[in-house]
Amino acid sequence: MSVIIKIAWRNIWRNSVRSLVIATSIVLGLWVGTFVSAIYYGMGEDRVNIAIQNEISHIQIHHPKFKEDYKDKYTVTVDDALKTKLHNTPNVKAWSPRSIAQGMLANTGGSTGIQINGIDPIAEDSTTHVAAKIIEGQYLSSGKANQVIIGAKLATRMKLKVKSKVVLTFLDKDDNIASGAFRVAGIFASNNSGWDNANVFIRQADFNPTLGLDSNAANEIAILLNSNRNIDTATALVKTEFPQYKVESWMEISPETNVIISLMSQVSIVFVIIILLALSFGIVNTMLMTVLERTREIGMLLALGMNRTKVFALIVYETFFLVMLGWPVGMLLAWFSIDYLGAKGIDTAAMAPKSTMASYGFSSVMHPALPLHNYLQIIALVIITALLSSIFPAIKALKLNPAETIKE
Amino acid sequence: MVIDATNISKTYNPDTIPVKAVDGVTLQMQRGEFTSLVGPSGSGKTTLLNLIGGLDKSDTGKIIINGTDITTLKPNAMIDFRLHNIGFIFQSYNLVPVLTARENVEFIMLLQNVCKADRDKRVTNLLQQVGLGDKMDVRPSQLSGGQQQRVAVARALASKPQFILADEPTANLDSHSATNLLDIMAMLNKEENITFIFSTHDQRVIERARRVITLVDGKISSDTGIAKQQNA
Repeated sequence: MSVIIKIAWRNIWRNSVRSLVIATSIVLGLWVGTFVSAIYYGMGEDRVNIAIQNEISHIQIHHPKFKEDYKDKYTVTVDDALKTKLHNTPNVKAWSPRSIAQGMLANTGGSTGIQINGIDPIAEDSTTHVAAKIIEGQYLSSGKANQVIIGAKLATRMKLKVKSKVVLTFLDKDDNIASGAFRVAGIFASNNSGWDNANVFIRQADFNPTLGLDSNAANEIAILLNSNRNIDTATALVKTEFPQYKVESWMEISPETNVIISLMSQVSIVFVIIILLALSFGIVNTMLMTVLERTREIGMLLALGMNRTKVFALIVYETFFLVMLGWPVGMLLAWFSIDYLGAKGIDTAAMAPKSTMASYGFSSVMHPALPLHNYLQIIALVIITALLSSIFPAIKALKLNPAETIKE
Repeated sequence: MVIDATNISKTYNPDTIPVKAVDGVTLQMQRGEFTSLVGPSGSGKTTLLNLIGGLDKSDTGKIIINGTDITTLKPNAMIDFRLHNIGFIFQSYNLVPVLTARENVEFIMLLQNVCKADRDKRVTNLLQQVGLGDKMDVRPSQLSGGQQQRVAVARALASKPQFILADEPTANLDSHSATNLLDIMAMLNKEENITFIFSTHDQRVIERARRVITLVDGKISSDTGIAKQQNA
C-alpha cells in the first residue's frame, strides 16, 4: 500500500497550481466556516453567561412549594447553618438571598407589572454584579431605606428618573395587599432589556417586614460558582446539603437558555457542513478532471495488474491528500482568529444598535468561541468530506476499460 | 504450450455498425517464441493482442494460457492473472510518470508482494540488463523515448511473466533506439528463453522475428516460421 500512497502524494503535485487552488479554497472555506461557527457558539455561550452572571446564577435554592405559585410564605431560612454549609461547599463563589414578589409599580404616569426582588445589596452585587450595571444614579446603599433600582427600559417606559417616586404594590405572605413608597436610587442596564423591563431591586431589609417575613427568610438563594464547569457535580453537592429544599441548576431553571446553546452549537456545525458541501463539489470536479486526464495511465495500471481496490484506494488517497493540504492551515487560522477575537471581542454596535442585541438578551460585543470537541467534529467532517468526494471519481476510474484507454 | 487460442472472435459495436476485428482465429504459441503479428491497419493485430493479454473479452472461443482458460475468468481474477503471467510493453511506454525508473520496475513486484531484498536485486539486474544501470533514480520525463521503452521492457520482465506482449514497441522510437531495443529483447529471448509477441508494422521487428503471423480483416492469412522457431 505504501507505493499507492507514494504515487497518490506525488500525483497531487503534478498540477501544483490546481492543487494549490483547491487547497486555498479549503483553507478559506474552513477558516470562514469555523470562525462563523465560533461566532454562533460564542453568542450562545455569551447568552448563557449573561443569564448566569446577571439573572439566574448557576444554582438556585427554593422552598419546594415556592415555584408552584410563587407564594411568599414558602421561604428558605438563611441561618448560620445554611451560611456555613454554603461557605464550605467547594466551587461556590458567592450567593445571594432574595425575597421575591410579583407586583405593580405605579407612578403618576401609570402602572406596570414587575417582579420585586428584595436583596442584600452586598451579597447580590457579588453574585450578579448589579452595581456595575448602574448607568444613572447609584446602587442600593445599606444605610438608606426605601430605595429602588430599576432597569433602563422600565425607566424609559414609565418616564422615571433618578429620585422619582414610585409605589410598589404586592401581596404579603398572607395574601394581603401591601404597598410601599420608594425612591429611584439608580437605573441599571444589563445586556437583556427584557430582564431590565421586568425587574426592580429593593433592600431585603425594607421588603421582608412588609411581606411579613422574618429578617432571615428568603424565597430564593442564588448561588454563583467559580466556573461554568462541573455544574452538575456542584448541584448534586448542594442537593445533598439541603435535602429539605428544591435545588436546581440553571439548566433546570432556564431550559430555554440551555436550548439556545445547544441550538447555536448545532447551527455552527450545520454551517460548516454547508461550506464543506460546497467545497466538496470543487474537490469532486478537480478529482474528476484528474481521472479523465489520466485515463491512459489508470488503464495501464489496470492492465499491468493493479487490482480495482488499489486503483480505488489511489484516487481516495489523492483526494484525501488534496484536502489535507488545506485543512491544517484553515484550522490553524481559524484557531488563531477565534482565540484572538474571543479575548478581544467583536463590537457589533456599528452594525446593530446595542438595544437591538439586548432586546434578544445578547451582548453587542461578540466573543467567538469554539470548544475542542467542535474542532474535532469539524476535522471529522473534513475527513468524511474527503472520503465522500473521492467516491465518484474513484468509481469513474474503476469503470475505465484498459484496452480502450491505452489506445488513446 | 504457453498460448492455445481456439476460434476466437471479437466484434465491436455489435448493435450499431458491427466491426469484426478478430474473426475465428486459432493459434498456438510455445515458450521461447519471438513472434510478430503483422498486417495492415485495422487488420486486428492489437485486438488479438488484447484478447490474448486478457485486456478485452472475446465473443467466442477459448484462450488457454498455461492451462488456464482466461475467457472464463472474472474481472478481478483476470487482473490478478495478468499480474502474475503476462508482461506488457506499450507503444507509448506508459510508465508511471511520478515514479523513477527503479520505482516503475519495482512497482509490479510490490503488487506481487515480493520481499524487499528480492525486489532490490531484481530491479538492479533488470535495469542493468536493459542498459540503464546509471539511470535508476531518474523519472521518465528525464529519459529519452528509447530509454523509457527499455524501462518498460524491464518492468514487463519484473513480474517473471509467461510471455510479453508488445504492441508496436518501436513505433515511437528513432532508428538507433529501435535497433537497440530489439537487440535487448532478442538477447533476453535467446539467453533467458523469454517469449515475446509483437504487434508491429516495423520491418526491423518483422525481420528479427522467427515467426510472423499475418492478419487480414481479422483472420490469419499466413503463419510463417513455426518450423524455424521449433528448430531454433
